[in-house]
Amino acid sequence: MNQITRHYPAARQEDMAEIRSFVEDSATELGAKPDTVGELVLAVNEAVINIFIHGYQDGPGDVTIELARKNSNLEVRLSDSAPAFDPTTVPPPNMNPPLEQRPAGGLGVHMMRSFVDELSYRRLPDGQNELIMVIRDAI
Amino acid sequence: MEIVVTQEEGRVPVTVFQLKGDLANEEPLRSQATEAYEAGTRNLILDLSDVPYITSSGLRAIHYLFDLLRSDSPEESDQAVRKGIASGQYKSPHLKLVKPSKNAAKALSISGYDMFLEVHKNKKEALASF
Repeated sequence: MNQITRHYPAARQEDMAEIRSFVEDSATELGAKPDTVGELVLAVNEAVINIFIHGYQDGPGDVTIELARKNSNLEVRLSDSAPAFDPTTVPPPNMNPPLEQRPAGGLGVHMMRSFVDELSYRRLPDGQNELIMVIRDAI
Repeated sequence: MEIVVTQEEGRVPVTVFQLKGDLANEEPLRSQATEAYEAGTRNLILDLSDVPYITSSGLRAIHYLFDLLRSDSPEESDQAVRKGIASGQYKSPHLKLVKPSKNAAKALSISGYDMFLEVHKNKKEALASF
């Protein structure tokens, strides 16, 4: 098997534990290295949380998660029907401000960028958002 | 996520939060911490040995605990803490972490939280550090 997909037609933040389990199990089934699996789970978690918070404004919405093995790389495609939101344009947080000014938030995108090798976004012709994450030499 | 709260007596009284499950939300950790603080807790061990993942929301909860526990320590003013972190001398004397999983440790490291929070191998070692 080279690809595993799951569609969540009306997902909410409460479904995140199930989503993390799905990503963990699927990445393992596709042959990803254990270290890679953990990093991917964290990256996807942050991306999907962003969809719920920024896209669906904490309401339910559809999310599709597709994991695919491409040679030795692992690619994850996230698509949703929320208004356009491109997390790749979020500026990296300043991790060295005075402690009291350090943003407690804003870490999600930083974690995504830290755990994957490639992160790209596009708005699809049908109006969906698509976020693609690639981890190289993951298998 | 489940939180088991116990009290330990080292050189100082220490409250232990043993977390079970992913630390993926700010609640219930924030509420539990606030309740403990109002009941007198000033030193806290966060036992992460049963926490597979820490997300950015979980990190926010830890940040809240860190700020809460230093809030009435005049020697830990923002300026003093800032200087201490910059020089690598400062670690929170009030909040200690125990045995994060590999994935939890990655989240702590990526976020820079391990710069100001001690990480111990076990609860005994953490307790002795107060």
